[in-house]
Amino acid sequence: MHKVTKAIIHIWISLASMAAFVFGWAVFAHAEKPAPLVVQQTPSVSVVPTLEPIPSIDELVRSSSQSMQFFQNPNFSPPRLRARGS
Amino acid sequence: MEFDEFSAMNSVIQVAAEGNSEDLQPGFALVRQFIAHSEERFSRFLPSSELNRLNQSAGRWFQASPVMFELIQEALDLYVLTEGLFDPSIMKALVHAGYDRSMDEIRRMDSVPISSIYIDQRIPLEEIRLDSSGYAIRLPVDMQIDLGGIAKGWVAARAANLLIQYTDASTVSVGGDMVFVGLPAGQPAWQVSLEDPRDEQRVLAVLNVGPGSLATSTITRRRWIQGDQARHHIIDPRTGAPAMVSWLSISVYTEKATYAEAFAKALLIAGPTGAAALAARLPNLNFIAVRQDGSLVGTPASKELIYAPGYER
Repeated sequence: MHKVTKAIIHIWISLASMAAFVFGWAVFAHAEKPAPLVVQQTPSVSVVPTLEPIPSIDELVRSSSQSMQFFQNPNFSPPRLRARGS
Repeated sequence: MEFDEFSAMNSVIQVAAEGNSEDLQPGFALVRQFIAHSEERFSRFLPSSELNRLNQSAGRWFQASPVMFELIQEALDLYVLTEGLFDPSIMKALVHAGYDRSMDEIRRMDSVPISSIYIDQRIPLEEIRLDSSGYAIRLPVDMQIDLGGIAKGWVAARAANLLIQYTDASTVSVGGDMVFVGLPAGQPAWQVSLEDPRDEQRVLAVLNVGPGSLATSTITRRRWIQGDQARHHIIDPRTGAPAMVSWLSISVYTEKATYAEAFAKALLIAGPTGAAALAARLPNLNFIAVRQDGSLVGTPASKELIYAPGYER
């Protein structure tokens, strides 16, 4: 084959490859992104609670004489239903 | 108030209802029967359970019962809602950590054997296929499901509602999952002792709860030694290992039992830095966590759950 023809074919293949690559890149870059594994939903600031100390029986007894009388009364027995965890 | 207590599903079952003993006996018997039947369906320790048959069919379509289908569907919803911290596909990690037999058997052993090979493959839960027209489920090859606590929550809710045909107020607790239907006569709420996770004889607080669900998750009850390592059953799906947690236990109060249970696990893993934001994803959810020193912390509205004579909130 003539040298010039060979060179033209080489240039043609190179240009076609580059064009195909650029075209593919453009298509994928603008395609819809796959859905994330876990959908992140940022809750609105107004509904995000902060954590606060919650009074236990010990703290109630320390902070209130009424609680002290109630929980330290020998007649007080804790409810039979128990949140005991597993 | 009449009580019935027994062991099933590797847990302590506590049933209570308003009324006289004679009228309630058929209801208590029905609850026992229902729980025994549910254990046969959901236990991973009974070879013939529906759950085990589902796991054995991984890679193929499995014809599930409507109940199993409903729970798997709910588990997938909860996986998304908890940002992946509740994940029913952690079963292989749980088995690798030594929880490969019932807790009763583990408690009789000094140390459970170390599993030799474990490849944490992280198969996305989205690869589970559901066909709602025929209640068919296809787990991906190599995926194993453990419904664990949400099955207990579901069972507690169904059992409490079965009992309500014999009474105006009933509660059923399956392990850490409690469901309350109606209110005790003349009372504004059910009263529940919040147990100290460091010492089950101690009570940290008395909780006032209305109709709804209260689920408690802790790292201090289901724990064991594997080799020379202390292990517990709360697996962090991000690492595939028992979670490094700051809190000893957490009690979540919300309407639906399966949601309370899944969030209890997820919030325990999320811990002090992530729990508040995660809890905000579910409206009407409140929680109380027990710190290492026995002090309590929770959502501001959870103070309303505390029975506190003389305390100004």
